[in-house]
Amino acid sequence: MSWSPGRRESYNVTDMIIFQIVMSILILVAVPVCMGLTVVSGLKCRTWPLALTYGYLVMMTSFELVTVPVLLLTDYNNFRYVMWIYTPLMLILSAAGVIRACRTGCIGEANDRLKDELSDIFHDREQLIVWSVAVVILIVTLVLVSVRVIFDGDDAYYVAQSLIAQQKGAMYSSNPYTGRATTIDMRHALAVFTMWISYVGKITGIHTTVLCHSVLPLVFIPLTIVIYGQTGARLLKGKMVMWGYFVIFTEVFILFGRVSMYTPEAFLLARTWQGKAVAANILLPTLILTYMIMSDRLLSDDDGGFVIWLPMLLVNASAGIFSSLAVVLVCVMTGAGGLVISIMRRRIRPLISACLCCIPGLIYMILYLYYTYFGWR
Amino acid sequence: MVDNIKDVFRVIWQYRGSGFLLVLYLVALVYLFITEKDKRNRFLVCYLPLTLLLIYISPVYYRIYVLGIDAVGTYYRNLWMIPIAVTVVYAGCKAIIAHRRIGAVIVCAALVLCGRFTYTAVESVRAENAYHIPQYVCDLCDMMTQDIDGVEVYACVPLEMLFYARQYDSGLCLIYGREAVEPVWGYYDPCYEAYELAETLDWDEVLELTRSPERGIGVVTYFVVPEGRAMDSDPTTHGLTEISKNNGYILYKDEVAAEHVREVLKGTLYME
Repeated sequence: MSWSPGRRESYNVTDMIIFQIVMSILILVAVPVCMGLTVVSGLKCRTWPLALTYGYLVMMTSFELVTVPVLLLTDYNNFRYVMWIYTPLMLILSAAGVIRACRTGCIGEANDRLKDELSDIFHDREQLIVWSVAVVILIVTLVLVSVRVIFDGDDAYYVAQSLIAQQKGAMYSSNPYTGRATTIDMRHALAVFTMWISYVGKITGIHTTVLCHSVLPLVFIPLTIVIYGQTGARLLKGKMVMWGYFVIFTEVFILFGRVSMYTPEAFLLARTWQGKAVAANILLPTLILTYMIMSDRLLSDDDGGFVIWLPMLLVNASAGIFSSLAVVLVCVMTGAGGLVISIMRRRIRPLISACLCCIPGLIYMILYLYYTYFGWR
Repeated sequence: MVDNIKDVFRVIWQYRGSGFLLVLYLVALVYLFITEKDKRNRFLVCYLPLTLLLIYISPVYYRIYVLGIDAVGTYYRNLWMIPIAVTVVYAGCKAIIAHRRIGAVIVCAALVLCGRFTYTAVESVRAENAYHIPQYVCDLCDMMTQDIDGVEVYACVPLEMLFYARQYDSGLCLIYGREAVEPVWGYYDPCYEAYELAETLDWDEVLELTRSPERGIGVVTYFVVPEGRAMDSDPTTHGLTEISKNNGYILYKDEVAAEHVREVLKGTLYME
């Protein structure tokens, strides 16, 4: 049962809060990191932030693969099937990540790298100040997100949809605005990010509205900074003294990026928990980061074949959970990147590989169009 | 074709908003095109964004998007493909590398002046609880959902509560929801018209709609009325009981509807 103040509960509230914090850390940090180790073990650059970033994509992809068939093939009260199937799968994927990382020596390498980076910061006064400022700005942002509210009407759909699954165990079978029974709305139903939130809510015992408005921003905003920071570290190769400044500027950009209600920064701070905001601020920057990681090999003569494109395939496969538009945007970006690399190298293979990465998106679009135009059931 | 291009630029103009971040981006892009020598970086912050920008303004892509993917209203989301933040920030870092301290101050000042602070007092309000829902809504919802365990309760709430009520408790159903109040969606709801839009609340008209036997257990049991709302008669004369009066709202319970729900559920597990 979820915690809600104002109601009398039989258990001790303090114990419940401690349980919720521990479970939140496990499912929102530890599990993604373990899952991400599977991907990072196969890369040259093995770091904890990269494991966290790719771990989220593995988590989202696996959740989508479980939830969409359950949604399409079962009826009312079907959220329990997701719980039963996804929980063991999540544990298996996490264990597989840890085992692979141990075998490849990934954990030791990631630890060494982290130690080196921290020692660079702590042994240089300027770097210490710069990174301290970056941490302070991040804390200020998180405090603002926690204590201020920007109204968004779409919450009446997304947050309520998650809450229905958590409290009633039904996925997309009732109108979130009124509660009346309804048929599945395919435009939103294939993007099961709302169900992922319900899943996290069920596991942690946190009311999904609290989860959306008070917990997820504390995870997704730092994750966005981590992704931008990783991209910056690669762009600034050889000028790492600027890395901390890059992070500070990114944080200021995010905090002052609401020039209109349409920017990704506006979405990040005002609607962090909505699939489209996560797509704009985590998925698309991860795609840029992935191209950055791949570009060393892609722009050289030995491009390593399609294996090098596997992280990009993962990015594409995970897009569907966030929104149907994210699938299109990711496909366009992947294709555009492949085209540019093909032109730069005067070879067609990168473009073909990029197109192959778009296959999950294509399957998603076929499913979407089929159910939209021919109806569900 | 010309109209399509005009539409695309109109979207960019709206996206630009009140700040100058797009101007800053164009300056950064030109600067990086001139100064960036690393092939990898040129790919990421010059060629790829430029290609995406060309795709974005292409009338062909616009037509495909509008006809096959989504409405014009969401076309701005295609601008998310362009890594504006990364480009501006990287250009800033590159420009100040020789004079880091003063340079950092200048770049931050440029970002602040060209951007717009998210948490201005006009757009954001103080959170009252971890739900980020006004506390009076939580209190009213708690009062409305304590009748019969496991049975959904239907309520009629004013516009300002409409978006929040079901975010707090999905066991609380509403007789009309967001569809009724969004004018662009063109959805007509007689209950919304009678309860919210009418200048004076006509209880006979409202109760005829909300107590309709066709609604089964979906009859409306609770009504939240803002204090001072013009009403044609005292609701207590229509079988409603005042439950609470707090924070500018009066909560009424329709005893007739509640009795009807109990009658419908008689003999079921809910009543036992």
